[in-house]
Amino acid sequence: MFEELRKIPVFVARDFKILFAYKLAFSMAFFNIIFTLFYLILFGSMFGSVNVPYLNPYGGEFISFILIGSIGWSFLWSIMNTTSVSLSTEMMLGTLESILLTPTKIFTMIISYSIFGCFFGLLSIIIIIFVGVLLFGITVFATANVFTLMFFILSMIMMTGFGLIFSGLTIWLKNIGDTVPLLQNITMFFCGVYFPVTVLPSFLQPVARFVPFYYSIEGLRKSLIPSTPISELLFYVIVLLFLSTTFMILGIIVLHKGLSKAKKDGSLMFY
Amino acid sequence: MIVVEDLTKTFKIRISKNKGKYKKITAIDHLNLKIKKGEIFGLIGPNGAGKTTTLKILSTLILPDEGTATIDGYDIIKDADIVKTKIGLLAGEFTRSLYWRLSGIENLKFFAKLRGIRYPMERINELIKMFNLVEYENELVMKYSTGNKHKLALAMGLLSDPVVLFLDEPLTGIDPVTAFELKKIIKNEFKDKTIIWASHNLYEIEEMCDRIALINKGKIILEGEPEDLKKNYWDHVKILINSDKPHVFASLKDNVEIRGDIIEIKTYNIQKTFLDVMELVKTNNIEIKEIKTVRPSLEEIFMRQVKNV
Repeated sequence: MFEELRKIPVFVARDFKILFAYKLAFSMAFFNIIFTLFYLILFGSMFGSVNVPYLNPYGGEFISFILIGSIGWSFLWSIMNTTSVSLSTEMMLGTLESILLTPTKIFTMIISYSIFGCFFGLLSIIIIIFVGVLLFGITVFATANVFTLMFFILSMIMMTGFGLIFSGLTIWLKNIGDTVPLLQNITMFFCGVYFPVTVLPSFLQPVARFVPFYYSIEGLRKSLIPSTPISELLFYVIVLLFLSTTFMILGIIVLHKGLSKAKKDGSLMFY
Repeated sequence: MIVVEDLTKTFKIRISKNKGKYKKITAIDHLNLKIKKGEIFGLIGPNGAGKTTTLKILSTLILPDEGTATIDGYDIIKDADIVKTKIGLLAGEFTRSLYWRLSGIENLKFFAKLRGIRYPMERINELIKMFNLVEYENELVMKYSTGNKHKLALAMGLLSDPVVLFLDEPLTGIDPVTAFELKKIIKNEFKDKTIIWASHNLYEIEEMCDRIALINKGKIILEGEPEDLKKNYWDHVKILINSDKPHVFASLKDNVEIRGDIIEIKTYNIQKTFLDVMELVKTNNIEIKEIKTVRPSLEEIFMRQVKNV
């Protein structure tokens, strides 16, 4: 167990080394974050002076609303995207075989990808907060508290579970194509990333309750509003605790199924 | 050291674009092997014979359908994690096993740590020296020559000083100088290791291996030491004669082929043929410039077994 845990920083360090090796790609990712921030603030400012009653439960400020949604959303998906892309890249490069020849559990590998994705997501958040405060005077995270941290951690575990599911599917089906972006686009609509769910037609609003990511975004938002009662925050903690446990278990099952099928087919190393 | 019993593996391949039309092909068919400690065992056979599948099963990367295999007493399925600490595999496209955007030393450090070696630098330096990679150790692998990538991949397989080494086509795609260098290292430095060397190149197998097995369609057709195989599986000898009157030898009853001054006689009874040749030489006053017997090559034996020629 400890031997496996020791391997996680080894994977993460390798991923950072490779990331920094592609200097242009890395700097473009950085500029993309800045540009997205600028774009969101510009977009938010257009509605800044308009009173949107739907936003009242969230403090009434559109810029804050859109920034929290966007930051939370990109953090969540950077974990899953990194996990899914890393595994398929490893298969394509041919390095998966070398790793599997070492006494390393594939689970350790996937968790490491998630942690790297999490680090990358956090790096994006730090850049956004830093640039946001320095250039645009945005202080949306000034009210962050222990619940904010809990929502980040629980969401990270939940997304790692999804990462395991998609990794299992990648090992099994090889190319899952745009499944992850498609899921991202469909669920974004119901998660209140850029607009509150209450804006949706009444028959669509209940759908949001069945989308796990909704609870991450909503919980994160609520934790940043000082007036939110603790009981409401605890509700989101319990739901996210349940979801993260469920998806981790499901992820382990799917990954093991995919792995044993690929080992039987002899297709583990192919993409 | 390595014991394989009745190992069988079949794969499903799609035979038609229509859904559900599959055919089962047997990659390995009740394979049995016993390889002693310190032995270099050659696994030779045409493409698709089952060599790579055998090595991948033994390396725990593919699960067999039937049969068992143990390495140093450990079962490849039940004790897969222990088996992984005992083996090093160099499979097919060696260069794909490396991270091209990391340096040689970074690659070795990464894989050493995954193998649970906490302080790997001593071993890494030893391997880097062994494979003459000192001047390239901090260079990105993408800048390595193919030969150096091969050496690095081999070094990677040796990080944990495994007792068993599986080499799948280890000299394919590299220049003769690097191939010579690698063969020398394997011969001199790996004396204590048990090696399975899979290849379709008979010359390297004959040169490097103590014992060999011919595998075809997943089955072992021949097995033994190269010299024994030649003795046991080849029933004729060729006599080559360089003479001033080659046409005279056409009268011999054996298979005779004449190419210029060279006469090639294929015989099943070498003593009798020699006496006949001597008789011809004496009665026709023939000058013999050179006479020699040619031993059968492994290639001829294997071609005969595989293609039935």
